[in-house]
Amino acid sequence: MWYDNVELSTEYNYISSKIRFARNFDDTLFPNKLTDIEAKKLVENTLGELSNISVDLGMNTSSSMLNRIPEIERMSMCERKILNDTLAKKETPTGLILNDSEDISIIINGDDHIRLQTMSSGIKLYDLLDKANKIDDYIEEHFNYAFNDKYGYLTTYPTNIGTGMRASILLHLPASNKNKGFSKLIANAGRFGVSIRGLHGEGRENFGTLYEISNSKTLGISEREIIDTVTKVANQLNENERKLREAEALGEVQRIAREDEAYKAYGLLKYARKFNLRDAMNCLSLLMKGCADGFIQIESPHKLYSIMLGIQTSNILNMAGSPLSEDYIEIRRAEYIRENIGKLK
Amino acid sequence: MLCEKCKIREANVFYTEIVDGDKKNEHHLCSQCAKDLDQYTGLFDKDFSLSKLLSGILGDVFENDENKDYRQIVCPTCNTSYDDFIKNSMFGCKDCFEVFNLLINDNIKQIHGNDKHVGKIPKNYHKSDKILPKSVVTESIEAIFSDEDKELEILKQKLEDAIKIEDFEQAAILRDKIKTIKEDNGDVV
Repeated sequence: MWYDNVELSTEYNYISSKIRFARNFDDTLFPNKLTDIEAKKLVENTLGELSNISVDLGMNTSSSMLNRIPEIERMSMCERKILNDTLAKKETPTGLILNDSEDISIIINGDDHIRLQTMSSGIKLYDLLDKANKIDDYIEEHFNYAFNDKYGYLTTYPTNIGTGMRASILLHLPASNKNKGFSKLIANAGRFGVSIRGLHGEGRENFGTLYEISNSKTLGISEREIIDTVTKVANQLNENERKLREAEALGEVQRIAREDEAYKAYGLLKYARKFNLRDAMNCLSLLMKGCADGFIQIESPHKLYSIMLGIQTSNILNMAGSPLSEDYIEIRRAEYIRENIGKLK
Repeated sequence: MLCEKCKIREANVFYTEIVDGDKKNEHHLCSQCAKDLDQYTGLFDKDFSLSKLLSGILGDVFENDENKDYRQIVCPTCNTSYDDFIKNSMFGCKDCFEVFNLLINDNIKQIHGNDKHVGKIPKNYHKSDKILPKSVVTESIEAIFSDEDKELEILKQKLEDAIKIEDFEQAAILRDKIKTIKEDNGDVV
C-alpha cells in the first residue's frame, strides 16, 4: 500500500498528496437526476467500457459495485481517503475501480459520473497530475465529457466547475499546532485561495496534528496554477514547522525533554492495553515527530502513518468483522498498535 | 403544552424529524426557540456547511417568495428549476449551465473569483457540437419574459430583492449594471 511508506524528517513534513478530478458524461443526466435503474445501467456500461483499463494502463485494478460493499468497509475506505463521507453512505448504484496499492481510484456515479483520484506519499502533485491526466485521457477515449468553453468541465456542484480538480497535501504539523497564531492562519487561508483543515479531532482539538491543504477554487485557474498555489502554501507551512521544531531542540534540557516526550509516547504505544482514538493519535504524532527529528530510533518509522490509518474506528470494526462495544474498540486499538509499532533500534 | 427547549413558553411550533425516510422524533417548541433551531440543528448536521453555505451564496435564502418569475425557469433537459438549484446547489445536466447562465454568472464569480475556464480542454471537445440549440435556452426564458430584454429583467428582479433585504452594496452593483446595459442599448437613463 502506498501509505506503508511515509518518510518524514524535520525538513520534510509532507505525509501525502492527492489529485481528484470530477467529470460528467456529455449525453447523460448528472447522478442526482438518474433513477436507480438508469444509474445501474450507467455504472455497468461504464465498468464494461473501462474493463481493459488494468491491462491498457498497466495498473492492476479491480472493479466492484461500491453500494454492495458493507457500509463498515466503506467507512474504513473513507478513513483511508479512497471515498468521502457521502460515498461511504451512498446506497444507489455506484461503481468503484481501485488498484492494488490503493493509490488510484475511480468512482462511477458518485456526486459526478466520474471521480478520479490519484494519491501518493510525500509531496508529488505534478506526478499525480500526470498520472490522473493519463487515466482521464483514457476514459475520454471511451466517453465524451460534459464541457463548455465558459465553465470548463461541468460538474454537479458549482464549487467544482472549471478544472474539476482538487489538489491536496497532507502535512504533519505538531509544533505549529501548538502555536497560538496557527488557528488564525487556518481561518485566513482562504485569502490565498486554499483551505486548511485539521483531519481528525473534536471541536478545537486536533488529534494527531495532521492538516490538509487544498485549493478552494477550480474555475479560472489552471491545473498547474492550482498545484503551484497549494504547493506554495504547503511549503510555507513546512518551513514554519521546521523552524519551530529546530527551536524546540535548542539547549540540552530542551533536547532531553524532546527525547523524553518521544520515549514516553513509544512506551505507551508499545505497552498500553486500551487506547481511545485521541490518546493513540496524539502518542503516534509525538513518536512521529521524535523519529523525524532524530530523538528516537525505531525499526520502521515510515509505517507510523499507516498505523494512524489502521487505528481509526471503522477500520478496527471492519477488521473485527462484528460490532464491538466502545471498551472493546479501545482494547483492539491497543492490540493493533502493539502488533505494528515495531522495536526500538 | 410547554416548549421542550425552554420549558417556559407555550409550544406553538410542532415538527417531526425524519431521518432517511423513517419517522424519528416529534418536537414541540415555542416560536422563539424554533427560530434558533436552524442554528441548533446545523451544529449536528454534517452536510450543513456546504449546502447551506452554497444556497446562501447562490440565492437569497431569506427570501421565501418562491413565486418569483426567474425562480421558475426550468432546464428543459433535466427539469431542474432555478429554484431547485438554489435549494440544493446541484446542476442536473450539462444544459443547466446554458439555461441558468445569466442567473448564475455573478454567483459563480463570487465563489471562484472568476467566470471563465482556463486549463485542460477535453481532446474530443469541438465547440460546435456541444452548444445547446439557442432556441431551447431562450424558449425556456422567453416563456417567462416575453417582451423585455431578458438580462435586464433578471437584473431588475435581483435589484428589487437586494433592496428588500437591505443589501445595498449588492443593490448598487446591480443598479450600475442596469445603467450600463441601458446605456449600451442607447436608452436614455
